Amino acid sequence: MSRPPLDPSEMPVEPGPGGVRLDPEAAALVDHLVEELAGGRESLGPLLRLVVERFGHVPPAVQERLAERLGLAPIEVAGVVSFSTCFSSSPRGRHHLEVCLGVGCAVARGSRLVDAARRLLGIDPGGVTEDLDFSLEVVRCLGACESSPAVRLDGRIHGPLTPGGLRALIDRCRAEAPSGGPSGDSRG
Amino acid sequence: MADPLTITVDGRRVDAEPGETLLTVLRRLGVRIPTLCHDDRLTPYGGCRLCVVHRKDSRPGLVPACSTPVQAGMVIETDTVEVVESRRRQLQILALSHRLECPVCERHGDCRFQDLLHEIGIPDDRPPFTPPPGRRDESWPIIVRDPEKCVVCGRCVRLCDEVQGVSAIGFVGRGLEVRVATFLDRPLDCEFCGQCVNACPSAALLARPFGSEVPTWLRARATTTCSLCSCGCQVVVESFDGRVVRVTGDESSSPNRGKLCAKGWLGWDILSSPERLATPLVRRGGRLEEASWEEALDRASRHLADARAAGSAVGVVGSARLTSEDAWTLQWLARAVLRTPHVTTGPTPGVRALVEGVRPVLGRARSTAGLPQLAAADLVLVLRGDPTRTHPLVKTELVQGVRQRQRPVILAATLFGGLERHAERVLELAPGSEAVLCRTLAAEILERRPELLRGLGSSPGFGLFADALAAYRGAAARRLVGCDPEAIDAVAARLAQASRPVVVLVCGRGLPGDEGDAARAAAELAAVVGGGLTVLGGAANVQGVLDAGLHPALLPGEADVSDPDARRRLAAAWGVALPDAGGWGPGELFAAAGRGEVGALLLVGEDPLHAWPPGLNPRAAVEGAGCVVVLDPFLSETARHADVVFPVAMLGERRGTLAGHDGVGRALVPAVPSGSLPQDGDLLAELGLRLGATPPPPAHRYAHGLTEGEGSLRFEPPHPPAALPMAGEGPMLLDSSPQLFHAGTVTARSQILASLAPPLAVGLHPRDAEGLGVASGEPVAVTDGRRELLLQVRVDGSVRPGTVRVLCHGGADSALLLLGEDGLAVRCAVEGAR
Repeated sequence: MSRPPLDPSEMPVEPGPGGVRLDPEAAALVDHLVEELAGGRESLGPLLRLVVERFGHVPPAVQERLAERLGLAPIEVAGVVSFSTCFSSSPRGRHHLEVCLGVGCAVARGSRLVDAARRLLGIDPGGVTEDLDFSLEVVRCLGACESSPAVRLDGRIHGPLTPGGLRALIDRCRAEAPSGGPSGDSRG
Repeated sequence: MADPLTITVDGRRVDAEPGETLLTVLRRLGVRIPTLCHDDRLTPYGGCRLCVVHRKDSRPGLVPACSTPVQAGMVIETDTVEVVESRRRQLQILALSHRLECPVCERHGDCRFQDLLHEIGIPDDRPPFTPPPGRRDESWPIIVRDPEKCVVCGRCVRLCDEVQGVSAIGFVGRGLEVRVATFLDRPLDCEFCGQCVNACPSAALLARPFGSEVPTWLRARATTTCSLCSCGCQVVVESFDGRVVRVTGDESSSPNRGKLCAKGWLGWDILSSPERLATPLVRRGGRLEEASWEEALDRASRHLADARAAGSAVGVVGSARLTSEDAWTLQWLARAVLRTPHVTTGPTPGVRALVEGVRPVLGRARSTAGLPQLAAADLVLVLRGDPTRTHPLVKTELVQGVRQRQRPVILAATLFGGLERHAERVLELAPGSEAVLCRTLAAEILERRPELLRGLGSSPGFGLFADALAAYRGAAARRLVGCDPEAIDAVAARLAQASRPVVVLVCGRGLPGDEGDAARAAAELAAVVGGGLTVLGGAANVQGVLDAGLHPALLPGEADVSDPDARRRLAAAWGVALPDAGGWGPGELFAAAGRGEVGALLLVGEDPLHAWPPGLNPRAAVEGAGCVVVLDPFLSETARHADVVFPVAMLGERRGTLAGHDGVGRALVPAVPSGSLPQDGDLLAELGLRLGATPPPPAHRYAHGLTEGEGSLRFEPPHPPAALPMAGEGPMLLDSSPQLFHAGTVTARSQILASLAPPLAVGLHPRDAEGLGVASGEPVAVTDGRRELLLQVRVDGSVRPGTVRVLCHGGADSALLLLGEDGLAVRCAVEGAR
């Protein structure tokens, strides 16, 4: 299921003299979430999921705020964010493409799909297109080894894929009218 | 203690304590278990899996010894085929992301990972994984990163977190992409303690100053005591050809277990500073000129002999960094040879606290708690400053207590440095109000626990003391302290309940307020709660020089200078009569010198013109004294005004004993030779000879260590709470504190430390900055009405409104200039610099 459009004006951060700062509304929201969950350090995981629900990703300024509120160091929060594919520090596109390079897909030359995705979208893994339509990530083991090499696009697994098949998938997305249905996120 | 349990190891039945890990038990048996990520200073991690052993009981399998608690009935085999194979495979995986280039690697021959590869070996095949490439990163200050050498053991990250409490680095990513990084890959901003570099088992983290082509096996190694603060850390100095090549810690050492701080780790370039004096200087025709040792010694001894013969006052000032032996020689030279009672340290932080604060209350001028007592405490109250900046080793002990053993810390100070993140409660005090806080707490605790009144009632003066404390129970006292009154009550309640509390008083150049009164009140509070007292004084041998009698009120062995028995014994040992009691401390001495009443000043390792509070008028004193003889490794500001200057060996070039804040004597072993430079004590003995005397052996073996159970309690009623005496005029208060990287005197000579120190700036709250119409980066003048300090503004929301925050560099070009009168809080004003 595709994501709703992420309007740059909805970005919760603003540039400031020391780097990015959290705008007061977003800061208040983060503080409110922390208070509601009231779990201290242990509530970081659930808090991050709530943040993703609201912002689509976990901006670094939010990571700093969470760290401050939970009594953690910012790098500890960043560590959790970078560990799990559920969370991302950078904005994700309307369509999020995850190319699997777990053992099965790696052996089935999933790296060709990574290269193809790079070429087709013009971005590197971890990045997002300028129009925020697509973001790309390399992930480990989607559990679809019988369909390797596999990808997950907007939460749905596709495979076995050739570079041509990937192109077809992406073209279909591009042909879709923007701003689809509800902002559900089936990433778990 | 619970009953021991029994397990079986390699066929033998073995006893173990519940709660121990297999690793502890196996090591005790002498079984060799390879480890990589394990560190005895850290909680068990189980990350590298090299320590696996084979369980062969009801739950068979390979278990990591470091993080597996013993259980009754466990059957362990340490050397099965599976264990060996598992370790080899595991090491192979760890080596995947390690660029193996031992022959050209900086750590060749001194590398834990290399040792493990040699000991365990790896299979010949190559797993089909390609780790991402990494680039050597030189962008951080001091610390160089080589990610392709990282074996992801996590020791650096965990030490920075659990021990330093800073968490400047962490893991990001996952699987083969895991790497150690700062938040958002920002430049490293930390305390540069070196724990990460010293714990790295390979060459992933290196220190740029220690990059050297000298192979590790050709270097000389010496373990010695650091001379740069009173923590007494053991440092391992590697040298080649008389020059320091690298400095690390030794994890088995006491008290610091391998932990260092920026000063002790990086400050060794001081020894090879190009500014060091090599030859003596003598004033001829108004100018200081190089002279031979013979001429300088002759001149100096004649000056001193003349002053002695004329009967004019002679003042002797010694640094608290002198070894105990050298300090003893200096006070002997003063009392027995120069016949003067005026022998003293400078206004070294901690000296007044111990002598004028602690001694009257506890009977002895020493702390009663050291690191073992801090470790065993169930509550620690830290007063007056943040040891993060002044006593980094103590800071790590406090952080570890919080993080690893859930032992709470309460922090009450004006200016913090990072420990507040770990404190259970933080009290923000008005500058100089610690004594009021202690007395308020003592009053509250006596109220809550009246049985203490009975227990302490037998101590002289306690009744009057307790009565006078009643004045501290009201709102007036709480207002003076300046923090939330309820917080004070909460802290009193916590202290009243604690069974093994310790009170820690931080002393340092730049902390406002009267350290003597603060120490007295802290000692009283410790006595009331039945807890230990730790006074963290400033210099490396602060306790040792007092024990050696380098104080006008103390004879060697901590005897009172007016005690007739002690005087008799000493006079007999020395063969001379002692001068009358009543010597001057640094303030009185320099006031007299300024009035022209001092015939000779002998200054050993002290630089009053640069490092003493300006209110003591050091320039007038040095110019007013009849003659000035200086012993100093550098041509200090004071030395420039001297008549004779002797260069000396310094810091780690010396040998002797240092006793820091815990009073434990530790060996100072020469880490590098001092060439032809004498040590202070040898030079002083030579002066003594030329003045007609031979130094006797130290007549008193002064005890080193703490005073558990010794000394006697004595109470005096405190004056009622009154507005704190302040110096200066202006609408703002000065919040100042020492900063971590150098203390402004000897450590300022280290280029490495100077590069880490923050630029001199004044912190202003955004509202105050707005009101003054200044912004970050603009120059302003901070003035107390008499002196002004030009500083850059730094707008900072954590600064308390109505205060200016200045970190003190201990030199007269920092907040020390404004703390003109030692011991007073300061009012000041900020003016836009024109």
